[in-house]
Amino acid sequence: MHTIKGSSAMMEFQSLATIAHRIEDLFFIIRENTMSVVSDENRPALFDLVFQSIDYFRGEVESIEAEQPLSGDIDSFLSNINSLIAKIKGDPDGGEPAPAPQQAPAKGGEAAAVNSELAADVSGGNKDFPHELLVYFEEGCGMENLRSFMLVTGVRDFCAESDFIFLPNDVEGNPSSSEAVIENGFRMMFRNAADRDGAVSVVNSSGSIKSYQARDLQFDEPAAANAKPEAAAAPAPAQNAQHSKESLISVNLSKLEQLTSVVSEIVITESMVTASPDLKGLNLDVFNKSARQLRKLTDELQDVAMSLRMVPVSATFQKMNRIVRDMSKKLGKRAKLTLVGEGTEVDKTIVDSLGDPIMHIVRNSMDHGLEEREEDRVAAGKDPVGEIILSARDTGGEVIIEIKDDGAGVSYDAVLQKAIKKGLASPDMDYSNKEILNFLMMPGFSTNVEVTEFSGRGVGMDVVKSTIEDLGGTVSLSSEPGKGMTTTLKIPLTMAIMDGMEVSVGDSVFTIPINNIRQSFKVAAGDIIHDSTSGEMINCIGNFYPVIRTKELYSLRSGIDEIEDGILLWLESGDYSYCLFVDELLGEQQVVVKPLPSYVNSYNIKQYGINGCTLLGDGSISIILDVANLYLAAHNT
Amino acid sequence: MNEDMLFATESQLRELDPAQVEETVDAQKFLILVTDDLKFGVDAEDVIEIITNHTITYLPMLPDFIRGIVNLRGQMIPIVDIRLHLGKPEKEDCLVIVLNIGGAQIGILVDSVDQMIDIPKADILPMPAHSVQKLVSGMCALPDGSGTMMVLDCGQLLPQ
Repeated sequence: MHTIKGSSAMMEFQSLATIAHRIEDLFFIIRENTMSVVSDENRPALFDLVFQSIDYFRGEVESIEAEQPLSGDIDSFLSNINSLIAKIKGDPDGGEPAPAPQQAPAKGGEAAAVNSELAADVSGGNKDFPHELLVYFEEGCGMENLRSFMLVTGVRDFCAESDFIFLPNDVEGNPSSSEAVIENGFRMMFRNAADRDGAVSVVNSSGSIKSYQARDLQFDEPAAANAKPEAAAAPAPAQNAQHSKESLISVNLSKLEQLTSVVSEIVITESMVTASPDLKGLNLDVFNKSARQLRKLTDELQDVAMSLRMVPVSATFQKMNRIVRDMSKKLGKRAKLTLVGEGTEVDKTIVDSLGDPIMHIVRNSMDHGLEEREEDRVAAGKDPVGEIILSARDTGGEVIIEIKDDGAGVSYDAVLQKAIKKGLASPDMDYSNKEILNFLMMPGFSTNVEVTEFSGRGVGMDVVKSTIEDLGGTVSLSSEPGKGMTTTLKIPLTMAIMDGMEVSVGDSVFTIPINNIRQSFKVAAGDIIHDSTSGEMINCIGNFYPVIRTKELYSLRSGIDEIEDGILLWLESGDYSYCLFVDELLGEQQVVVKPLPSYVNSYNIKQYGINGCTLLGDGSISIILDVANLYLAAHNT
Repeated sequence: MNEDMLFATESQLRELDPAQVEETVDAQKFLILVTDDLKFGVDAEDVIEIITNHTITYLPMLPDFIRGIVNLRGQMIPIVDIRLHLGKPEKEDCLVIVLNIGGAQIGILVDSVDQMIDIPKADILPMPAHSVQKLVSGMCALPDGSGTMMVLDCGQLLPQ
């Protein structure tokens, strides 16, 4: 804080310096008198303020980077800080019988009394809390007790107070406990393994951690464990897992992209060399052997290069804790956020653009999803504390992210009324529930009557939809009245590589994402049903689907016209399902997606379903089709 | 000693012919290409390379004069056919000149390449005011008397 103050004063950022100065004052008081000077009721306010100031500094630093003028309006913020300082200062002289510093040991003692019951033995662990996490801080980092307490507060965000204990248990109020922390490490014990895993990510995200150690104590005979705590410790090391903080270097993303593209070139060039037509008919034992070796190495190289770009979603997920916390304060709704599958890895560029959509949805859930009044929740037989579950899982080809709230669910009638009022729906039509939900994602739609600070401007869900679609993913909503709403984001694992089916039409080769293909089949001319507008349809498994001829859609010069000679591909993407007529299937291939040059993109060919291109093994180019846009293009022409 | 001699010759040259020095300072290097019997000049600075054996992959739904894209060592480069751009019939057996236009790489399809030539900037004359010739920003008579060169305005190739 002092550094910020000094530097900003030096650079003549007056407002920054003033705020930094006041916050330094605040920290000074706390440092002098330990944390106990802040009475319990003031603590939330203090944390709020610290978070606020972090946000403030972050915002200002951004505007300095962007060379925008600083926001000069700091008066209200300053007065917030000042009033808190006054409160904190006021407390000890406020005529309370027991001055704050003396309260601390008392409180510590109380807590110790509770904890000592639970923590039967420090070294042996506790049978109620078998999942341990032992944290060591870096040597000489200072204030180990407060650092430990920060971990505890972090853990409290997701773990109920009664579900974990920690040792030494007086880190909050007793500065001398830092010595114990230095010596023995800071030990947290959890009732559930899941909470412990959550704590590991808290530990990972905090600084100055030298190492941590997670272990699960096993108590074969609970009675014996009670009697001989030392014995219980013996089997424990079996499950010990020593995690050391990984050493990392940060690399410019553009360099990484360069590497990925060079590697994919190498893979393709390698197959061009080894499958070269010049080698045909030659007996090359040594060459073949070396070529196999080369193939193995290039495959490995490709795997490594791809994995470089993969990062876990946990950082994005963790940010949502903060959003839920802030919003539950502001809206007066109690809510907790449960994170599932934070370790799921996604391409870096995708993770970066996921933050905003997820934040929008979480805010929507907090604001519109959860019931306004807790009584309503209790009446519906639900826990008064709302729950939002944010989960990620990897299905091999794509990552599925679900944001689920246990609120009231979508009121279909209200949405339909609103859609009609906004002119998005026609009053005479009957809409299915699914169609009604889709209105939520239309531009300019917002159900909540009032626009709140967080959501309700009606720019939310349609932006979410377009962002996710830009990533090549899909958004779907589902809702159960009274049970809550689920938003599902399906996102490709990486945008750089995909499984495609190569098809040919005349001289052109197209790649269709395998995920979109439901079936491929040959038909006779008699199976095609013609409608009045010279459109064609076909019956697949009891439903009629339109037939789109690639040759006609793209006005290609060559290609097959007789439906018997070609093949139909039944494609599906989101809500679109249709059959595409192509000449021939060439085979399945993993392809490296390359964007089209911006020169041709400026002619809007993406609208016609031409999404990118890829190099085939022989160096020729195949065009990657976007199944959804292709359908729209065919319908608009 | 060798160096001395080199210097001497150079300064001698300068003394002998000061006019030529002035000319080289102000001259622009052009690559002259031939399309439909017209000679076009492009700034040699913008030329990245000339490729002869190429397979153009046709991209649908684009204006006619964009013939498609080629794969140049893993980079996708759009190909603009100058003939079609000028409303002339297309022709087989052409070569591609890859240009760097404002940071974007674009290939232009031409009949053949003529020569590299230095042309003093002052010799480039503006187009006649009522000319309807597209893609050209100026013209100049070639010093060897082989015809007139039209300066290709690469910026006009970019989509407006």
